[in-house]
Amino acid sequence: MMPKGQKRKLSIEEEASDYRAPTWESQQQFLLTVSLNKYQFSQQLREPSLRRSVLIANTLRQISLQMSMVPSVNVEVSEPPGIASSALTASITNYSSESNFHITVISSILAALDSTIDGNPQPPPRIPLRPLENMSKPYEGSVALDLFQDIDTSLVDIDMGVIGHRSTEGGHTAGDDLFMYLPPFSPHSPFSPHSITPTSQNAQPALIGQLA
Amino acid sequence: MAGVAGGNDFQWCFSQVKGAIDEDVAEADIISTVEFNYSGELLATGDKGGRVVIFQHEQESKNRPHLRGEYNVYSTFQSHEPEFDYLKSLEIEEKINKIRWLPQQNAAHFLLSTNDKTIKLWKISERDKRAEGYNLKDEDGRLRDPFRITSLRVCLAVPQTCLILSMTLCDNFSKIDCCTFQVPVLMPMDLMVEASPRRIFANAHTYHINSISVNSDHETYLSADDLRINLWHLEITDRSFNIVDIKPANMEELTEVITAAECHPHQCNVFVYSSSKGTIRLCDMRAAALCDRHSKFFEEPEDPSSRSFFSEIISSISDVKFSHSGRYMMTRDYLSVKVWDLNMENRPVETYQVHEYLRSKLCSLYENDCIFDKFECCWNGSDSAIMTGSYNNFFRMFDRNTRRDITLEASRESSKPRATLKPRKVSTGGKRKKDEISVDSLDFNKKILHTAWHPKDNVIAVAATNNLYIFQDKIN
Repeated sequence: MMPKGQKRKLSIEEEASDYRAPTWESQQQFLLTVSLNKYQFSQQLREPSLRRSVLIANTLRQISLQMSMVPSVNVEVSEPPGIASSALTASITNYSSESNFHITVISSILAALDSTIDGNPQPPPRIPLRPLENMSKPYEGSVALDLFQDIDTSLVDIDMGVIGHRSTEGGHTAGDDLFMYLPPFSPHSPFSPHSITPTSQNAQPALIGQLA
Repeated sequence: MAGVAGGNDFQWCFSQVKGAIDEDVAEADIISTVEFNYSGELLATGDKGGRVVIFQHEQESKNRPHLRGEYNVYSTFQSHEPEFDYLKSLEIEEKINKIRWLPQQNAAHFLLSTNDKTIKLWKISERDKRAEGYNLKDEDGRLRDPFRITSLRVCLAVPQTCLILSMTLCDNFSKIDCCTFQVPVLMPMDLMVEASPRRIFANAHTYHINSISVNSDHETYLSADDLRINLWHLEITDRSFNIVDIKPANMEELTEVITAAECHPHQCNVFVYSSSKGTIRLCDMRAAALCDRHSKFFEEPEDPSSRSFFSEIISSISDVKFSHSGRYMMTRDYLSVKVWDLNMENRPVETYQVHEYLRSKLCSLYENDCIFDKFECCWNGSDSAIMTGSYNNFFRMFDRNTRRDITLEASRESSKPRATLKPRKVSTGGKRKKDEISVDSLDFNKKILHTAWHPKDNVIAVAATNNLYIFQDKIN
C-alpha cells in the first residue's frame, strides 16, 4: 500500500481499493451501476445463473459496506458543518442508502425467485386476467402492473421482472429499473416507491453497455 | 511419464484438429466438455447443442510405429434436447455440462452425460454381425403371417436346422413335416456403433447441475447443483439421496453456492465440493446421512494486500479434481491453480499463476463478464503435471517436479501435422519482445475452458470454442 500523499499513476482498477483516491466515489458508483445492470441482464437470460447472481450481489454488498465504513462520513443525515463536506456527506449517504436499497431489492428478487422454484408442494394457482373494463383503480407504481391487479403478488414479483423489463425500450436508466423491481407490499422494505428519487445516478448507458 | 515444459527431452506437437474451420461459429457447435475414458481409447466431447461425439483411437500401424494412431469419429448422438419448464417459464438448455465415463466392464462402453437438469446413462455398443434367416419375420423385417406358422416343424433334410421336437397343433405328436424352421445365421456387416439411453435420472435438481462424478465402487455416482448434492445408484432412476444441502431457509441470506464436486478416486465414502467463496469441503458419507458437516475444510487465508472488490469473484473455484493417486486435489480459481494436500487444510502446497497479468484488468473483465468464466483443470496420468486453459486460445501446463511451466496456443496456424508447438509469452512490462503478445491484444472471446489429458500417454485434448485440438509428445 502506497503511503498517503505520494504521487502515482493509477489505473482506475487500482484506485478501486483506495478510498482516499479522488475518483473512488465515481468508481464505486460505476461499479454499483454496472453490477445492477448486470444483475438485471442476467435475469433476462435464458438461463439465469445462480452463481453469477450471488457473486454480483455479494460484490454489491461489499461496495455498500465499504461506503458506509468510510470514517470521515457520518451516516446519519445530520447538520454537517461546511458546505463541501455536507455535499459529500449527503451524496455518500444517498449512495449508501441507495446501495442498501439495491441490496434489499436484490435480496427480495432472490427470495421471490426461490418461492416458486423450490419448496412449494403445489404451484400457486394461475388466476386468469380480468377483462380490462372490469378493472378498478389502477395499481400505483408501474403502468405494466395495471393488468395484473387481480393476481397474487408472488406471481407478480416473478413476472414483473420479465414483463416490466421488456415493456421498456432500450436505454432506460438504472433508476427506472429500480421502480420496476420494487416488491409491492414488502413490509420490511424501508422505502416506499415514492420516497425514492432517482438521484444523479450517473447512468451512462453508452459507457456501461453490455459487452457480452 | 515425461515432463511438461519445453526442453531437450520433451516437446508437444500438433496431431489433429476436429471441427469446422468457419469463422462464423454456430452456438450449438461450441464444445462444452471433453473427457477421455479410463483407457484413453475413447475421447468424448459434448457441445451446446446437446450432442455427444465420441472419437476412438486407431491402433498404430505396425509399419509406422513412430506415429501414434489418430482419433477418429466413433459415434455421434443427440444426448439432450432443449426442454421447456412450463411452471417457471424457463427454457432448459440442452448444453452438455459434463460427461463422465464408467469403467468398462464388458464389450460395451457406458457414459453419463448431463445438462442443467437431467443426467443420462448411455450405452455405446458395437454391432458387426447381423442375423439372417428369421423364422418369424421376413428378411426385410416384416412379421410373417402367423397363420403360416402353425407349428414349429423340424426338417431333417437340411443340416442347418436343429433337432428340436416341439408341440404342434397336430394330433399326431410325432409327426415330422417338411421344414419351415431354421436357425438364424450370423452374417458379418459393416461396423455399426449404437448409442442408446439406458437410464434417465431426472427431476432431482432444482438448480443447475454443474458436476457429476462416478464413485470408485462403480455402482453409485454423485451429481451437484448450485445448492445440493445427490447420490444416485446407477440402476435406480426414481430416487436419489440428498447428501449435501446448503440452501438457507431464507434465500435472501444466500451468499455462497456449490461450484464443483468430485468423488475420491479410491475411497468410495469420500467426496469434495468447492464453493464460490474459494473454499473446499471434504465429506465422509460414513459420518452422517446428510453431509452438511464437513470432515475437512480447505481455505487459504486471504492476502490483505491484494484485496479488492473482485477478490471474492476471483476466488470462486471453477473446478476441483483429485489426483490419480488420491493424495492431492487441485482447484482452479480465476487467476491460479492450487494443489492441496488432503492432510493440510490451511493452505495449498503448490500455487501456480495462470495469467497473473489479468489482475490489473479485473474491472474490465468484470464489465465484459469474462471474470465469470469457469476454467477447468486436469492432471496427467502420473500426477507430475497439470494443465489448464486461458484466453487467446492459450493453455498452460505446469510441471510439478521441475517447476517449469509453458504456454501453448491452439490455433490453426500451428496445425501442420507433427509440427512442434512454439511456446507463447504474454508481455507484461513496457517493452514487448518479438513474438510476445501484449495483454491488450489478447482475444478474450477465444477461451480454453475445457482440456483433458490422456490417462496414460502424453496426449492432450484441448477444446477451443468449436474446435477440438489433439496434441501429443514428439516421439523421437
